[in-house]
Amino acid sequence: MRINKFDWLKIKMLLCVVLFFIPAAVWGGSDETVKVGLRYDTSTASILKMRLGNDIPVLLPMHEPLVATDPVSGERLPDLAKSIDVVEGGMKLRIVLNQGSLFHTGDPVTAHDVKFSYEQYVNPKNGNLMAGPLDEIEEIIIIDDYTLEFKFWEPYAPWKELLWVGICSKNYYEKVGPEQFHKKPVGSGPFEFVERKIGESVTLKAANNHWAGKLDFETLKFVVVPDDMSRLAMLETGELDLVTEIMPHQLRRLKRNKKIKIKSTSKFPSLIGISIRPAIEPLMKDVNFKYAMNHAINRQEIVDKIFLGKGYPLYMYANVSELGYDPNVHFDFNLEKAKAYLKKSAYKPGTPLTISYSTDIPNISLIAASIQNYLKKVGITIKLQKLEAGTMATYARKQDKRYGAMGMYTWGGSRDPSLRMQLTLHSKSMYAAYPNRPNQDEFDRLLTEQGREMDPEKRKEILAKIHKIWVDDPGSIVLFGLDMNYAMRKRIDFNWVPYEPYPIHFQNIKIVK
Amino acid sequence: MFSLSNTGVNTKKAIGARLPYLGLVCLVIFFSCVFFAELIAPYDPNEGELLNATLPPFWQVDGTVEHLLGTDMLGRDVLSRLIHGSRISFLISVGCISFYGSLGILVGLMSGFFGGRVDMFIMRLTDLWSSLPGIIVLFMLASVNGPSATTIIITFGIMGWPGYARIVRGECLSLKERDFVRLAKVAGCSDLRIMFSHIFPNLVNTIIIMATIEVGGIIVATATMSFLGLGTQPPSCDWGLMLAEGRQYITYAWWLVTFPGIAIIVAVLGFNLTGDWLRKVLDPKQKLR
Amino acid sequence: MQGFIFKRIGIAIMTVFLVLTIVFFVFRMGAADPVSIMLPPDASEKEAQMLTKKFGLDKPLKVQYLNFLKNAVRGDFGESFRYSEPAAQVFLARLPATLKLAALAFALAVVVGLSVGILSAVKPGSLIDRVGRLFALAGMSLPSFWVGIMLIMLFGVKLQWLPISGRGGFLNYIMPVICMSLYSIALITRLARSSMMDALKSDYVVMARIKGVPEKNVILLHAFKNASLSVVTVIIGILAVMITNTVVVEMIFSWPGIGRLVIESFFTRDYPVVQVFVIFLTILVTTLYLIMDIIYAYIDPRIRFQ
Repeated sequence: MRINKFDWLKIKMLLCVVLFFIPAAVWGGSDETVKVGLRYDTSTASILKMRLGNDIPVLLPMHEPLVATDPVSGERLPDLAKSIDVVEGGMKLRIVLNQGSLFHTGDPVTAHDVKFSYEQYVNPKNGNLMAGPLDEIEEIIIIDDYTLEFKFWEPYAPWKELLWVGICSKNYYEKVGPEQFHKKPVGSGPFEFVERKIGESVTLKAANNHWAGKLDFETLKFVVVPDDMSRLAMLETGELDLVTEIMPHQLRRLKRNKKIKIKSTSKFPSLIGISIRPAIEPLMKDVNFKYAMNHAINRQEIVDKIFLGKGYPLYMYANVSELGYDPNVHFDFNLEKAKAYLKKSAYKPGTPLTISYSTDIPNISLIAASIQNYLKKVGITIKLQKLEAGTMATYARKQDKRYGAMGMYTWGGSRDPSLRMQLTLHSKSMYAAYPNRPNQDEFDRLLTEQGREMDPEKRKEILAKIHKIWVDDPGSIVLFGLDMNYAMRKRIDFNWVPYEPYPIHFQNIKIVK
Repeated sequence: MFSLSNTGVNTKKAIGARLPYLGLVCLVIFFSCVFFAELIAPYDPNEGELLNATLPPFWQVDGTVEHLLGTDMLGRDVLSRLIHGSRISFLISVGCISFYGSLGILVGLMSGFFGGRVDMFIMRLTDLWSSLPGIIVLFMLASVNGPSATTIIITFGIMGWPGYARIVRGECLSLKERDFVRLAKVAGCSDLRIMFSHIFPNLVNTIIIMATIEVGGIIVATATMSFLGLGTQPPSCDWGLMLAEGRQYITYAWWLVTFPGIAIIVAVLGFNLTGDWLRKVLDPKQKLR
Repeated sequence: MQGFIFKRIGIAIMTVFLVLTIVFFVFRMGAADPVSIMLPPDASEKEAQMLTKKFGLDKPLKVQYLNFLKNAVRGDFGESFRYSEPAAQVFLARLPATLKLAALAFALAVVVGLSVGILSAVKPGSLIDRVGRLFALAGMSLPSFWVGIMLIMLFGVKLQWLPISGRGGFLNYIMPVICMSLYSIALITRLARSSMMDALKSDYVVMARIKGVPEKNVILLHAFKNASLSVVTVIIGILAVMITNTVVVEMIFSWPGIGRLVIESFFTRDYPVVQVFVIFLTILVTTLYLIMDIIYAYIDPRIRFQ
């Protein structure tokens, strides 16, 4: 048989196609590597220059904080620190370090490293996101190599919020210089830095001299996949092992995949609400109007329909993971009540009120549109305005009129509500949306007081008072909190650390045999 | 008569011969949606009951005949949104084309008619303009004006005129030498008059063909920009935006992505095919490509 | 000829400078400011001021602009707001990924587009012509992002033949390259077909055939050479279009290139990175046009003396 030129071409093409797919057949990750999907690229490799909250899960594994959180109970346990004592009535924190923690270079972790790291965090050159909160520390006093004291400007109740940041090696920093350090940082955490490809991935490997011993796997790789759909598809094909922040509607498909395990936790800081701008729209001072809104919105239905039940209605300015949360605060969904309140209010039917929102909140356009529908039913006209996230952030900070009467907001938050309260409720703060409520002086006094009250029980009482004032004349329309849904390949096991806003403690990942 | 080239094959049986009809059918569908959206669409495109969220199309298990192509996450009728979406695509296209078309025609006429220094200056400007990256212009406008339909129209308007200007100039250069223009000059008509009542009417065919062909491109570009978050904003029912919004739910509600895509294809096919056909009929010399 | 080239280079440099100036000022006129975006939600006014100072946004606009020009001449485009690294470095780190993708897509588009276009012009009405025209029509009508999504759904999720995103091996390139070159293939095919058809009908081709020149030479040497001028124009235009296309493709396939970088930088108002992108793009496009002009001037002497 004679093969002509055309047949040769066909054979060549076929060969090409076959060659295309051979690598596909052998595709598959090795068991030693755990790959975690990230939505946002990290802004840096160096924890000292950490600029965004999203950097935390990638950078923190390389370092150890003074205090870490226990993944099972959610309680905070000593880590680098052997003991931490509040002394001098809350003015000082005495910290004794464990001896035997080692940096990846082999140097021991000492009080000098701690002082150095904390000073670098507040150094304006680094532009670190923790620079603000850590400013509460007036001075760090080294007593000996393993003992030091944090001196506060004034008693500081939420001091635990200052202890999670990672410690870096001072010796190494001074040896290689800042530029090299920021490219290849050294800490004392369970993972060592290997490589960072901007926009693509960060690779870490298990540290061989960590006190906790050997890990179940060798390499931890963070892969940047900004697109939600692709990230989940990659989990399905095995290109990723762990994906967090999954929207409920996407879980349905994942559930059908037998190689994937889904977990959810409601012990997760989350709060979504509608902020009000009395400075722009005086009607927002009207208590009756705000009550009408509170009663008109069927929060449970939104949670059930849009978030498929993966969340819970919220009515106060604190979520389940925060100190001061009270499940008894409640506005029932009642159209009659809402209409009655609306009648008592100064609202003229037909006047359009603007609600701004931006896409940085998941499913937000759906939430906004459903709220528009609910309010329409009681006779409130809402105009929706979608702003680009950056524009909305700028309008909010600069109190721009174009923001409109209301805006959707979200808060990731933490366990201690102090910082947020000071920033959003205190009349002196630039973010305060409602800084001149009728009893603002009393409110300000309570806010300051709770931040200085070192006795937890007394502090809770003050917080309850604050929340009561806040709910009586709502500072915003809080809607709901969401669960954290995360999914992994069945070959690994990972648990979300309760009340943490970001996935951390990757060293606890177990390889399931 | 003999032909040495191979082009003498009977092309009537080729697909091309039947395609114009397909194009016209697509256009008829598109324009009936544009003009009679309220009559055709079964529901208000922006109203929905959360209880009816994500119903599949009628032929699937949970689907109902009340929502032929299903509903989205808010319970809004997909069919109605598609029908009303045609209007947005059309308005944006008309806006863009009338914006840059008039600019391009004016500049092209001036350049071709006056020639000399004016021509050289304008042609250099056109070159310079063509080298501006369009996406950067969109970024700039979106950062000042915010992403919206107007921003898209202005961007495409700013970016699109050089193409028109070049072609109009070319046409104008050849028309200028024709007898009727020379006669008009001799008769003492003003430049403006010659430009607009003598030369311009001869350009109408060219302009219509160009406009038809470009609508397709504009619809795709608008959809792309909306998809990237730089275009129209919700609750608009722009097809690109519907695609972008539906994309999150693709694994769970395939119809939210598939149907807007098909709508875009139908509209674009309609304009492209009709444009090709018009070119064949109105511009047999194939000056425009 | 030299004078002509120098003049065109002068115009190109002016274009870059002009575009850059416009971009610099217009961006800063926008409603959003990078400090508000980069600030964590729990930041205080003091931090905001600190960040403003760090970004150099506390100085008057005129001073910022002059500083920027002064530094840009030395090749320093400032530190990225989003990444704590020099903007040029961030950009260059992600450039290769895009270049590889664009080069492959471009090669594919030119090879497939030209061969299909020429073949269908030689034999109009043949199978390859019909398929080619249908494909060209589809390529012009399908939005590339939609094609990308559909490809992912089919080959990535359903069949699991190809990796969905990222830049691992050769397989990772298949879907993005197809998605990116679709439109260009269609455009080149159409143009190559029609200009080849014109050329084949022309007198010199008829003449060559009468002279008895072999058909292969007629097509490649006589017809294609003459058709190539308009094809070159479109091909160079396509290179510029590809940059815009990378933005979409890189977003869909999570490709770590400059297209994704620039759109992310736009949304975070990371001025330095966007500026580097603009400089790069304008230089690229003006260079392409410059090359095109020179080619034209080389082929057609009349242009030189204009």
